[in-house]
Amino acid sequence: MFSRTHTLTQMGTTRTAYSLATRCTPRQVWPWAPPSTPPTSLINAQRPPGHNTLPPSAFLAHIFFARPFGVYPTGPRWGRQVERWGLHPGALRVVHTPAHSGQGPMARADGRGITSNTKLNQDLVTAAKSSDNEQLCALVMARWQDFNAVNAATAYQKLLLMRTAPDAGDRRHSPRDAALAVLEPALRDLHIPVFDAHQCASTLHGLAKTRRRQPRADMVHADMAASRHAARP
Amino acid sequence: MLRDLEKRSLCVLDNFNPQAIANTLWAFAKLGLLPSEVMVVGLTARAVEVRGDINPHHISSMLWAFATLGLQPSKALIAGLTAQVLVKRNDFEAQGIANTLWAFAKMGL
Repeated sequence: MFSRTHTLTQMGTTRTAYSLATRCTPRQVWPWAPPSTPPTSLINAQRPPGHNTLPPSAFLAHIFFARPFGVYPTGPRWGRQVERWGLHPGALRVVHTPAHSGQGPMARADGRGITSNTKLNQDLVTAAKSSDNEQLCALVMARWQDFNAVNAATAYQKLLLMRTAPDAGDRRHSPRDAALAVLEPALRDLHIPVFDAHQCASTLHGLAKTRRRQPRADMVHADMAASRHAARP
Repeated sequence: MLRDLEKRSLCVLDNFNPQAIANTLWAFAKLGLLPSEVMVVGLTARAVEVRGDINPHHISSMLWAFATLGLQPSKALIAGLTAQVLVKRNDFEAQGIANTLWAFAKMGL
């Protein structure tokens, strides 16, 4: 119904009749963003002022009132709008909170926050190498909410493979087990569903190395399987 | 945790490289737990696909895991691994040779 032939030029940008009617500009009509361009390539794109289609008050309300209280309007139009705010170079400084700035299980896939998570992974590796075991446990306890899948896999493997002193006392209440108790539910619910092949395999490998076997009804012990094979005629 | 990891592994099985396959099989064998049948079939098929990139350590680990779990790999995988053993025989270490021969014996090959 609406096509590029129904365009108006406004503030140096091209808008379709559809965009004017809905007050929401489809990305494909922007001259610097062809339809096939992935969103990440727009991070450094030059935008003219006033390109946001919702009023500035909505933006400010979103930043100062909605986000801190965990209120997130939904809907395709709002989603597109927030995406534009997030991609705007000026918005990067403002819209930076740990929960949605590229860290944690809610991390965006647009590349922001990767540096933070890389740094976090380096910190985990450094803490695991240190002679003080509690350093890694403390780091996990303090930052597990910021972990992405890579951080979670790294932390879990390092915790599993952590050497514990034989005379460490009651291991049920050790910092390592406390950190594992915090991390395991997060792994199951948030991180394992997005694990890649390497993370799956290396986590299984770590579990096996420490023989952290957990009961599972639909898994058969190899000994039982062998005896079944042997019992066959 | 194991079930979740196994389920996720099935989703990303197409991206498994020889090391991931060997690690996964080795982990199940080390834990003494049989993976699900679909997992075994998937790992076996994927191992056949990537057999060209496999190294001696992966070969011996895979064969050791299959033998430990009491599983019989498919004929295609056995043929592929055997061919790779012959091609890469000079790169095997003593432990790898021992594990490979033990696995072949255990599987009755």
